[in-house]
Parts: sequence; structure tokens; C-alpha cells
Amino acid sequence: MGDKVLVAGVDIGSTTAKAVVLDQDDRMWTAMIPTGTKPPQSGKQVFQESLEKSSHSPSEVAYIIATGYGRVTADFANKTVTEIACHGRGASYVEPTVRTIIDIGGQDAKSISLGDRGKVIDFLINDKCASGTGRFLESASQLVLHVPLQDLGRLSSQATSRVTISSTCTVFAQTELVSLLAAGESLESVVAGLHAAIASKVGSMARRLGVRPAVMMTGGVAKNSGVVQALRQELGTDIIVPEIVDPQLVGALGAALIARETAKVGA
Amino acid sequence: MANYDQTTLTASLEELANETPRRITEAKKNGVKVVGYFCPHVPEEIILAGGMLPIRLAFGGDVSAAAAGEEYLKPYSCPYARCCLGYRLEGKNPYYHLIDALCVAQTCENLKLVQEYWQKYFNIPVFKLGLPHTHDAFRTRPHALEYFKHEIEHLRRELGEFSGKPIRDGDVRKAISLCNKIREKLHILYEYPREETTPIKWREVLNITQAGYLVDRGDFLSELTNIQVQTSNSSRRLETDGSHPRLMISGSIIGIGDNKILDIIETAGGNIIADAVCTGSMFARKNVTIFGIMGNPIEAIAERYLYNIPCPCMTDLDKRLGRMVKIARDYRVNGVIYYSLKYCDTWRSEFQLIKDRLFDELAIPSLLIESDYSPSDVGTIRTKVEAFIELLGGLMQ
Repeated sequence: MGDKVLVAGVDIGSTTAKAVVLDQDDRMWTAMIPTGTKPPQSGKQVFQESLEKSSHSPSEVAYIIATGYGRVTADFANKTVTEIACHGRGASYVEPTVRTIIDIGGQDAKSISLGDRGKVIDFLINDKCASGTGRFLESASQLVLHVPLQDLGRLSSQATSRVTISSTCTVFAQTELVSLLAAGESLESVVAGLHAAIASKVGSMARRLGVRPAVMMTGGVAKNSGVVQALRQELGTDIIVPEIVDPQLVGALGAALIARETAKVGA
Repeated sequence: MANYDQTTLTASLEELANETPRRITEAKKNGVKVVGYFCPHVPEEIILAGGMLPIRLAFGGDVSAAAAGEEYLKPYSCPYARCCLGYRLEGKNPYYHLIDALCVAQTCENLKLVQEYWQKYFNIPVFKLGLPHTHDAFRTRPHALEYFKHEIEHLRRELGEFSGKPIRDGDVRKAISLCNKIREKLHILYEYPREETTPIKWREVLNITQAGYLVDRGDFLSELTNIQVQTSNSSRRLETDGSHPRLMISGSIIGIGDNKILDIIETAGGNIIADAVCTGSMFARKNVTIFGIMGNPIEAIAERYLYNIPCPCMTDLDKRLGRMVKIARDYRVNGVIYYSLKYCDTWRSEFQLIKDRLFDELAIPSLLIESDYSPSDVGTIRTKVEAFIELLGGLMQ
């Protein structure tokens, strides 16, 4: 690679743009910003932010791979790869024994099945609908429950009971939440019910594909301990949440790793 | 979205297709009747034998036509079925207005409703063709075939009365001969893309097949003969790139003009070389074989049309799965894309069975794409298709 010692992965999601810059010793520099209304610009900006943190210059970047929903317009990238392949690669790097990945992002949920050598062998993506995704939690917490998104995990852990929410449709569920709160249910038990509803929805998708251990959760919603716990119960299996890297960055990390492999092959 | 290069290969056929609405209008002035149909269980032979023009109303892919169809069918029903009404309601597609009568095979629930609306609200006579859904690979139900034979006889009588001239065995034999020739020629074209270099792409053959649902069948045969001459001594051989996976497409009807999924697959680098779709190669499957000079042509038609059309409305699942496995093996496909129209319960319900069978027997992965005609899910579908192609690439390494 000569002087070009770095590779980068940029994951332009529906809600958040993420970048990982990686050097030859696996040191990484990362950044995250809201995607906003101009996905390609956000992708470029988040890449530059992570590069600045590394104190390297743009000329030292050998290869950039863009992934995520906004990948198609990312003209600064050398290549685009789908988020399925990137999450597969990133999760395998974090924990080589992973065979099932459940990724819940801002706008969709995916279940990915990995083969023995960490190759993607099958996957499912939910259809155009935000039910059971980050967007669903976001709108419920802001518009109905009036609590910060990051407090949801703590709140559900304090619940002594759990309500049943029958709908994970973002629109209908809000109506249901309002009436549950009006009926006197505690905030904690409503939040716990919300997490259980997501776990049920995403869990059934994962089961359709087959759940083989080890199971890892990635994406922004993996940072909500309440959903992770509910999903553990739903699937009756342990779920790994990445620690060496923010779960939300696994896709970008995978993109950077694929960039490194691609650059080597190309060199 | 980019289509493949249009060449001179099908130019003459396209010209003919463009001319067709005008030609049909002329023919109608001379008293010729036009009979439309939807599912390929309806034997064109009977319509042709009665001196009428068969039109397969197989258009699809149109968001506004599907929305127009909501006037009668619920919004969450098969978009193709909604289009079957919507094109007529909208008045933009000429074929849906040239129809004098409809002939409807009793396949799925949605089309059964469609036929009632055509009759009641468009005042178009509908001839129903009963179809026994219970039959199997071993033909353990000869009475199913017997029933279907009676239904075709009944259709012959009805269409004869409608056209004003009884349909004789001799007419049916002539029509069988014409349709057999068309099927044979199409079949040859569908075999080309199996090879590493092919003078014609699968999608071109699909377009040719679909033009054949509209144009005069005699003219269509001449066009096919032309195309065959060109392809057999063609210097234009399209290279299929080895780094792009060989794909088979199966699932719900791919209507004339339903390009969304095919375009996405092509753009993503997928190479469709085979299909198990009722508007594609399955239309040209197997000839009508009359046994001997004294053989009964109606019996021969019943035999061909009952056993050879892939549709999950039938109970011959095992046979259909076996056929798909055979195509996948013969064409050495790397993966199968299963396109189920949204709310097409008939096809959607079978996906898991097909996926498991293909994987168990050939280790071939399948991808389910569930979609309607709206462009709103193009991004998600693109991701699914690209990820599937990446997955196949990984497995091929």
C-alpha cells in the first residue's frame, strides 16, 4: 500500500452516518453524525471527521468503501458494498464465533446468518416499514413518553410489570401507548412492553432465518439494554453486544475491513 | 434505469406490436371478435380455431392502473389483479378496450373476482373455464383430466356460439399446429441463454414471448422464424460475464411492462438466464400432442393445459418443485430470485418450500422479493439484491 496506510468504511444509514478509519495495526478512529437531508455530504463529512481524529492526511487513505442506505450516492468512495456484507464482516472481526447477527437500525431490521468461515450465507431485511426499528423507539420516546431515548434501557430494567403492546406499527402503537398511560400503567412497565413488542417482531424474523449461536446484536438499537434483554428472553439465548467498538459502528468497521482486503487484492 | 441494448433482432416484431392495436381495430370492423384471457390455462387454440383473436391481458407494473383497480378490489390485494381492472377503467391501455369477450380459467381468488367485475360493470361476456386444482405428478386422478376435458368442450361450444360459427375438430387441429410451432420456436430461444455465449438474452426472449400475447399469431410465427434465422447464424454473440452470477427468476406473474425487479437485478450485475414464470418460458413448455389421425384434439389440449402450467393454485407442488430443480440444474444457476407480488398469497405461501428444496438438492440459495408496482421500495430491494449477489459471489469463491 506504500504511503497509503489507511482504509475507511463509511456507513450512511437512514438516521446516522458513521465512519471508521483503520490503520495497518488495527487502530481505529471513528465518527458519527446525523444523516440529515443530504446523505452524500453527511457521508463525506463523517469520513473527514474520523480522518481528522487520526491526524493523518487524506492522501494516506488507500481505499474507501461506502455502505448503508446512502451508499448509492457516495461519490467519494472507491466502491459500495451492502450493509449485509459489512455487518457480517464487522461482527466476525469483533467475535469470530458469531453465526447470527441481529441488526436493528434507524429504519430497518436485519437478520444475517454466517457460515463457518464467517461468510454471509443468508439474510432477511424487513420490508419498507419502520415497525420494530430505531425510528419506532425514537418517536415513541419523544412524542408519547417524553423521555430521552438513552433512558429507555434503564427505565425498563426498573419495571415491576410489563404491559402487552399488540401493535409495532409506529403509528398505531403510539395511540396504544397513549391509552395505556391514560389507563394508569406506569411509565416503566409501558417501556418494558415496548421493548418486548420489538423483541417479538424482530425475534420472529430471526427465527424465520434460524438462530444459531453465537448471536450478536448490532446497530443503534443494540445500545438499548432493554431491547437486548427482551430479545434474549424472546430467543432463549445469550446475545453478545460488541464492546471493543460501538455496536452502531459495526457496519462501518466491516466496510473498512473489506476496504483493506479489496485494496490488497487491487494492489 | 438502463435497459439492455436494443438491436435489430426484434425491431420488426416491435413494429408489428406497435401496429397491433390499429390492426385489431380494423379486424373488428370486419366482424372479427377479440377474446381476452389472463391465466395461461386458457388454450389459445380454441379461440384461434373459432377465427377469433386471442389477447393475453398480461400487462402489469403500472402504479396508476393498480390504484385505479382499487375501485373494485381492496387496496391490499394482488396488484396484477387490480391492474386487470385498472387498465380498463383508466382507458390508457388500448388492448383492454378491444376485448369483446373474456375467457377466464378459475385459478386464484382475485382473478375470480376480476371476471365478475368485467361482466357486471364493463358488460363483457365472460366464459369461465373450470380447472380441477387437485392433481399430482402420478396422475392418480384421471377424473380431473376428464372434468377439464369437458370444460374445454364446453368452452368450445360457448365460443362457437359467440362467434356465430361452430368450432370444428379440423379448425382445432390447425390451431394446435400453429401454437405448437410458436411454442417450439420460443422454447429454442429460451435454451440459448443457458450457454456461456448466447446470441440473445433471457430478457429479450421474455419480451418476444410477451409480444406474442398481443400480435396476430400467424404473424408472430413468421417473426419468430425470422428471429430464429438471425440468431442461428448471428455473429452478434453476447458474452455472459463469468463474474456475474447466473440467476433464475421464479414467482408471481411478471406482467408486460413490470420492469422494476428485472431492472434492479440487471443493474446490480445479476444475469438472469432462466425462469419458471407463467409469462416467460413456462408459457412455451411442451406441445399439444394428438395421438394419431383419429386422436381427439380436445383431449390432447386438456392434457397439455392441465399438467404443464406452473401455478401454486394447483396441488401438484412436488412436480412443480421437481421441475424448478431440473431447470436450476440444467441451466447451472447460482441462485434463485423469487418475486412474489405483494398480497399474492398463492405464490408467497410456497416460497419456503421452494427455497428449502433448492437448497437441499442443489445447495442453491434463494432470495425472496415481495413487492408491488410502487417505486417506494426500490432502495430496500436494491440492497437485498446486491447483498444476495455478494453472498453468491462469496459462495462461488
